[in-house]
Amino acid sequence: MNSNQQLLKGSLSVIILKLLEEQERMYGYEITQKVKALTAGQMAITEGALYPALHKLEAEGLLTTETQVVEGRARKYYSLTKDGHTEAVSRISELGIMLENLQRLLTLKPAI
Amino acid sequence: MALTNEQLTAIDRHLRKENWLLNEDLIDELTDHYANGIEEQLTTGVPFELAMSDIHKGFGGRKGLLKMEEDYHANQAKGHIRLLRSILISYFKMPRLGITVLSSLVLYGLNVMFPLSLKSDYVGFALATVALITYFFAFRRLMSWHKSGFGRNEQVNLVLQGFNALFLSFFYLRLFLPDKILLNLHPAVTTLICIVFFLYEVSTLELLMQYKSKRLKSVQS
Repeated sequence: MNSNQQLLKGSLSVIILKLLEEQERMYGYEITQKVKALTAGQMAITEGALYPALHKLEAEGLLTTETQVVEGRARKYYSLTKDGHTEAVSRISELGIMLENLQRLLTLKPAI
Repeated sequence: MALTNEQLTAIDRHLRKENWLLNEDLIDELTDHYANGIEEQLTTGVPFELAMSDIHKGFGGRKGLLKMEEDYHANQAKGHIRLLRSILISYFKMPRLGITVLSSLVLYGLNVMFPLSLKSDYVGFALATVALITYFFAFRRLMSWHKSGFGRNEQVNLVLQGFNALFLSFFYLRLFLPDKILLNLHPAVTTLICIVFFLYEVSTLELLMQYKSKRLKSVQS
């Protein structure tokens, strides 16, 4: 796993919550494609990381699912619950603060 | 490029036979993922087998898939408990608190007036039969909601669940409490036992209906 993927895995739940805030409901494959498209292929979510994250968020009551038959196949759509909306706002803000601090640390000029 | 039936069968065989997955819901979800991924790769000229193997790698191979299934079961169990707890708690908060108070009063009245009649075989049989019939109607309603796509009628749901739970709580009481104990117990205690079963039944039935309503809502995209 490269460092890009490690960073991505750590913030995967926030990415999922953010995407579902923007789009009412999404299915697993759609999420992987959306991330790829938004980052111009720089970031790719592996299936092995995405689905456990989705299932965990569902178990925590942050996501709800509904299954629909599309092209003869059962497709499971995920959407945010009421708690999920609240949690999304809070986690996005936390990650934003962390990234700001990280940016500050990375641009730190050496003391003279 | 839409997949052929043979290709869909190959995905199913890959998940069940070659990767030993058992959970139907997870298999459905992964089949859709595999199909979407393979369809996309086929349009760029990648052969079917290669596309399937590429997606398989993304899941971490057989080991990754089996671990995912194990975690899926654990998460499902966690989700059930969380949901059941939240439904149970809702019966101690407004507006459902009214149902709990009213049921307690009715059960108390019945326990004071007919402590032993609840134990008669005939009554027990009648209660169990009525419970089964109401369950049957509950599921028929559920099926018609799915077929027609109508919204769920919460009040009718609640009344139906209430009846089921009431009958079953009497049935439990009849099963678990011997005459002697029943006569010596204060009606408040037997009422408490009844209300525990009642709330448990109401909540589990509601949980079941919530899960059922998630499944296959409509046909066609």
